Amino acid sequence: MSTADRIGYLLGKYGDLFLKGVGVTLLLAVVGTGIGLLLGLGLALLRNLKPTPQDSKFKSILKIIAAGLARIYIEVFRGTPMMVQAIIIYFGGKMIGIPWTYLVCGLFVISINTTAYMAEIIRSGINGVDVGQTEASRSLGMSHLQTMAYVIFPQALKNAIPAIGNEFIVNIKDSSVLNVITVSELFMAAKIASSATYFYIESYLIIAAIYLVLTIVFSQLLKILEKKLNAPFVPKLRKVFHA
Amino acid sequence: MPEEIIRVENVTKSFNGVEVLKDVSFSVYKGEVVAIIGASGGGKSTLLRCLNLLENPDAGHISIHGIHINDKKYDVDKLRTKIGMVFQSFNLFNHLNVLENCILAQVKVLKRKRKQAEEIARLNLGKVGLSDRVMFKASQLSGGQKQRAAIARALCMNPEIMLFDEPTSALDPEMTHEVLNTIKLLASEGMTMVIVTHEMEFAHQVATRIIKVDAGRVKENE
Repeated sequence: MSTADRIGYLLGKYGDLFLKGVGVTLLLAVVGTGIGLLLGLGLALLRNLKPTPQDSKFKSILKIIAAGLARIYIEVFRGTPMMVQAIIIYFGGKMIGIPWTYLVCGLFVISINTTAYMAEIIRSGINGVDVGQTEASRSLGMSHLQTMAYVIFPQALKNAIPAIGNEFIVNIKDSSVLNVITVSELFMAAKIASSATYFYIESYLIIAAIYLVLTIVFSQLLKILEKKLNAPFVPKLRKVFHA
Repeated sequence: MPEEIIRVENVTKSFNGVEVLKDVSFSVYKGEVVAIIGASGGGKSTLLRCLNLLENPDAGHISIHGIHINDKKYDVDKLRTKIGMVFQSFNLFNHLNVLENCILAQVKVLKRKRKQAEEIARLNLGKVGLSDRVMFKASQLSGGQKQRAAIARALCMNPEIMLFDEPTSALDPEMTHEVLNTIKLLASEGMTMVIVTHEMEFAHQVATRIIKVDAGRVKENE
């Protein structure tokens, strides 16, 4: 049997498995990136808390503690492999009685892992917004939270879009480590197909090709999105002249 | 005697051990246009930024209508709606168009209805001559237009006093002119203003009083 024959055989017999693997991999990447982004926004906000001279002593201490905890979270999740996190969290969860399935646990792990990376991405986006924007907003009487929500975040997010997109691409690939808790994503599909047929190279060539197609397609889509968001604003003439 | 709006008493401020303001005292009365002049690095901008607590004085008191504001219990946000601030670098919100720049704080801080806020925004944008630019973003405006939009944005909050931090220092001479004319218009309407500026001619034309800040001290008070 030639390599091509073996690949054909694998696709015929395990096509559905690979297809389901693509589905789960994309589910992991989308959910992980989405939830990671939302939680990362909050975490970045905590990480950036700094006491101001107007704060009471109690408020100052709270802010320092919150910022410290956020920092520890980020360091721990960025400083350990997601594969290790997955095992600890899955079995740790079972030990304290969380009745989760492998998939639910996988979604949880990739989300809280991405949160740590997103927090740093958002934070650098926030720090990239000129301090004058904050000063102008505060001078108009907007609170710290209002300034963050309506002035800084929208601009920080825009700054961070390329990095956020990159995180999504990374998640498509890195979700493969979740096979360690037998989440049935794409890598797991190859693992199953190869151990049943002993066609190791061919099984992994198939998923390599699929990963490559996914990452290329999505990075092109993200490029188009970036371009759209950066397109120069064209005022509607009708509105301008009726102003 | 006109009503005293701002009183600065014995204010001291240091950055990294360098004393920028040394025991500064002065007052601003209703309807006055005070020009603050002096060499670069002399503490003019720091003094102005202390007035709405963008900088916190290390010592001394700042009072608005007799209330100490650099006090922890004072609600700084509420104070700031009463004090309009215009910056050297304009600081228009980059992600919003001119109209939305003027509407945002009205809706979020003063809790005005959007429709009312938009009317007020258009009124003030008309006043600074930007009626035909309301849908433009900051990046599509000239420097002078940006600064006039920033002035309109501050006016929308109905401030009692306007602070200008070198409003024309980042502008070409031609655009300087249009911004100074806008400030003159406000002066003619009786707006109380404190203006940090290097434009001596303008200071003498518009200001009712000139304060010179030199090496952290108020030198003249004429």
